[in-house]
Amino acid sequence: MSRMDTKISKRIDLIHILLTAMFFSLIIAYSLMGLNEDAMNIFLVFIVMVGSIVGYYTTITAGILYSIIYIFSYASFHIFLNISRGIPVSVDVYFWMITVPLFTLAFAYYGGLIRNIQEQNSNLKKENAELVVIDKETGLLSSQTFFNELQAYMKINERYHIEVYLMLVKIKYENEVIKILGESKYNRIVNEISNAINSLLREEDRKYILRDANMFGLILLSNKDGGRYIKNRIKEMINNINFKDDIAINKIKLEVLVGLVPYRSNEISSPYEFFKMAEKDLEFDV
Amino acid sequence: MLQNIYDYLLLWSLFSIWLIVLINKLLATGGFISYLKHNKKREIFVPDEELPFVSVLIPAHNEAKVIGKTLEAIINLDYDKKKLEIIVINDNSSDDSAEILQNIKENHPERHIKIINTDSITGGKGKSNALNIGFEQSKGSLLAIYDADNTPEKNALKELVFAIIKDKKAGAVIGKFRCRNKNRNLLTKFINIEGIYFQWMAQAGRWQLFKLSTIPGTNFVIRRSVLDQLGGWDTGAITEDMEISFRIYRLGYHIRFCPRSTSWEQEPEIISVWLKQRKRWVKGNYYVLIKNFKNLFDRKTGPVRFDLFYFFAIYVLFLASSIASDLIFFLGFGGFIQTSIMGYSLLLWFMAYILFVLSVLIALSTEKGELSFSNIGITLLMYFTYSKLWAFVAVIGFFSFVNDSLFKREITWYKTERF
Repeated sequence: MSRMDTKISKRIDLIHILLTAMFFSLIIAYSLMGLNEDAMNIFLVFIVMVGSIVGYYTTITAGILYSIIYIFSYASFHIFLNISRGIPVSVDVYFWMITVPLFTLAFAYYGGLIRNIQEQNSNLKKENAELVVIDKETGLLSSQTFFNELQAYMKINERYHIEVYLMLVKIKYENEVIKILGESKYNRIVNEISNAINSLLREEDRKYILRDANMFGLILLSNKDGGRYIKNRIKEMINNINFKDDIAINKIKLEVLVGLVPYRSNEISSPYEFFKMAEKDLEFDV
Repeated sequence: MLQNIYDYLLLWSLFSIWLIVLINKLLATGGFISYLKHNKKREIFVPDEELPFVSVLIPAHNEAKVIGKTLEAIINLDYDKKKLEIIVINDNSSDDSAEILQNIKENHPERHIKIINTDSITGGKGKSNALNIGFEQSKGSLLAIYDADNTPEKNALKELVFAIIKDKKAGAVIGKFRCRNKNRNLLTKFINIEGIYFQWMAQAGRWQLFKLSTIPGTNFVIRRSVLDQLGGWDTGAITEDMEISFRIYRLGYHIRFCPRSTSWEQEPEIISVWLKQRKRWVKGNYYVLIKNFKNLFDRKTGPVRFDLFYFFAIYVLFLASSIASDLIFFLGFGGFIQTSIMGYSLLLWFMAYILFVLSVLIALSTEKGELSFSNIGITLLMYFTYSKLWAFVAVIGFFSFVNDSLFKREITWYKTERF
């Protein structure tokens, strides 16, 4: 933990103790001052509670505004009572004028600190996810670097005139498959397909799992028509995968769609375009 | 209930004080709404090629201590340098400002920098006059004005220009000012808190509720067409910024508040300098109040009537009623007079105190790093110290104003000493 984090957690500890002490004092004051004799005080406790919630869930700025509006109305009301009815201003009026802003501010501060560490946490998670290059489940490359590497391979083609293919593999009727089998079995299928892809392709071909798009992306270096051969082999292999122990998966006929596009530097200008063309080619695989 | 004249006097002072507190509470709420809006939407950017030509005017009188840094800050502003002209009016200075300025100009031959040096014959008649001299020699369709002690943030001018391009009804757009030397001593800490509070209540709050804000004398842009119609600055005014704001509103324009533009300025570090500066402001307010009093009931005056009313409420109602209620309190305490409605006065005072502290805190909470425990402590102190000084200034300012009007003192530079 860095120094900044320990500072924040120390503050949270402190404010937590303070809040407990404040509630304790409120209860003691309530009985000492005999506040339970007047029903009005129940209503004021309610205002303290609302203030705490407003403070906690919004910002310190909104919490202060809440206190300002409350104090102005409450004090004006008592000044009016004093002048028009001659009702004396008792000590509990001052007590409530201090209690409401104190609770609101303390909770607003507390909420601010909590939000602060939540924000830090989500930022760290996001940064962490961006750093993951290899997919944990399948061992394939994750989508983070996909477009960068695709661009690199496009450059290789322009310079050395080696054929570069982009192949996308997608499970046919995947939504239905998920519905029938459930997420966990679907994940098993995904793992099996990645094994098949891994065993079929060479080390220098790049194998990605594009989890956001529910696809496998393969960048292949090959000579003419090499791509088409691999396409057929993949379809065949996946048709023949035997989920020995799982009858439910074996019962449905598992098929994949494959889209395959060779890179042509005069037609394609960006990796994204390249990807879109391969995606379009998926539609023709019926 | 009400038994004698003192009771009626007390009731009257209660109403006046309560009214002021109510107005301040409304302004604080207005500031809050403005703050929410400010955080929500982003003003549209204008591409560089569509930005207008801007002339920056810097009036200066014996400012050798700060003018060099200021000019450098203006040169470093993020604005197309082909469309920016910088005019320094070095008005009747007896120090080495002229050499400092000349040096900087020679170091930046590629920039449009114009330095106008005047003496006691060609100038030396105050800030308004210096601004008029600069205005005559400028050619921009917009004029930006910075005081000689200012350090604007890099984007300060651009944000102002964006805002004025977007708003056709705006005769001028003002930015924020903050205190650069806030950590020097207790006085500058007070001034820093006061500045943030003023920005929130007066500028943001008034802008939100009445489409009204007033030029703070620095960090603002104004249209050349508006200045032409006004015939420049009023050389008779003590606070030229307040005066010109009122005239802009009478022309039918408004002044927009743009919180994205910030300029940092140097504030007085010793009490005597502070007193002198504030006395001038108070006198300026009286000048504007008297000059415009007849317009209070004229619809054409527009939202400025709120300001006139507010000045009136603060400088006349509030001052008189707090003095009256204090007097009655002491006389009653000593047994000289009898009153029957005293019970509320502690509550009224207590309410005013807590609301004051909370209103300052709400303003501080919007500036990064300002809502610290030390600033909260200073705010709790402020009511008994700094605010009392203000009451003192209001009184001496009034007498000084009367004195000046009776003996027709000549207008000259009211200079705030630099550090």
